[in-house]
Amino acid sequence: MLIKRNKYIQDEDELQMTPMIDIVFQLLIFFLLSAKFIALEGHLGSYLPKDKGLNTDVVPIDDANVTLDLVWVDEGDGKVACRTMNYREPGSDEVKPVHAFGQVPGVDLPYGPPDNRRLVQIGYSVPDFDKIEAYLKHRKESHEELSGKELPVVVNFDDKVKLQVVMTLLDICHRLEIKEFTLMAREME
Amino acid sequence: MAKKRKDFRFDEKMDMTPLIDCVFLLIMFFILTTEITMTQAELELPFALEGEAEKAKGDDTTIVLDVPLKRNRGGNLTEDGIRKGIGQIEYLGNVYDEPELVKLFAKEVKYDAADPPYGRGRSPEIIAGGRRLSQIKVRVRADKRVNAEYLRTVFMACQQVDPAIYKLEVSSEQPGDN
Repeated sequence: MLIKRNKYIQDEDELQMTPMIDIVFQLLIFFLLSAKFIALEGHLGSYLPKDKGLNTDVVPIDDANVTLDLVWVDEGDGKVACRTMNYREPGSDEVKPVHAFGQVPGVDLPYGPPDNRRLVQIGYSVPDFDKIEAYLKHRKESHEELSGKELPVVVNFDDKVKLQVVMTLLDICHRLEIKEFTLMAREME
Repeated sequence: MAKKRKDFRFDEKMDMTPLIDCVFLLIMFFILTTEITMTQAELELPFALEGEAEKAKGDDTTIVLDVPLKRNRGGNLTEDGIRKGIGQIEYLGNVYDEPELVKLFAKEVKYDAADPPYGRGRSPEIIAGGRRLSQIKVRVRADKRVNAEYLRTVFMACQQVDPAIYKLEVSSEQPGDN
């Protein structure tokens, strides 16, 4: 009888862990489900001109520069066309005053160098970025060979052009190591 | 003999201590690594193959601007909104237009240049012509579907403050494994 009472008292003394474990598991499940692993972002770094700004004079367009115009064409679902001035055909001396790069559909657009191709979603017809890249590469090589200087690329874009299109051009310039990349600004009042 | 039987009874119980230890460690891990991001919006960033991977955080000298697509009153995106690409420039959850952005930048560059404890004490770089340049960096996290005009608005605002901001970054989505 005495032994039985002792055993009973010993069992009563034990701490009840079950509710604590329940709560701890609830917390664990909450954090497991709510934790979100943020995908790392890439950053395309750039510098605005140090010596220009509010008092910038209008700079005349140099023939040696590559000027790309991204134009929003509002027909149907809309499209972005890319034109360049003073187009120089690779392998010939002929200079065309205006040249429009071909169009490709922007849905599941294969984009990037052949060994690192990805699908990009833009949604509407866009200029053929492969052709633009090949042209910029050709112009950069010939410009550096002739003048020994960096090729300046000027990009003008309509306000309605989607950011992805401008970023794709910026990305191409990064890939071709074009450092003099200029985005045209509207005139300040 | 009776004593031995009693010991056997105690051995039958499962020892919960290591389990609880592990569970507590997991909870501590999640509590410490979970970041409650109130200011960064969910954005479909533009894709770029050449973007430099994000470095360690903790840099408070970068002004991060979000440019999400504008939402309707119910907080949802609309087909028309996506098609037109209308967005808004946000900083810490507040919406800024160009003049307000200039005011914000002016305040930030002033704070950056002021001596501690009233600022960071990072004196502006002075270049030929007496133009002053701030050490502050501006990062634009814009949805790929918004119009590129917002990028231009930010660039213009950067040039309108004194000292001017010239360090800029545009966030992009990194190539995945697909």
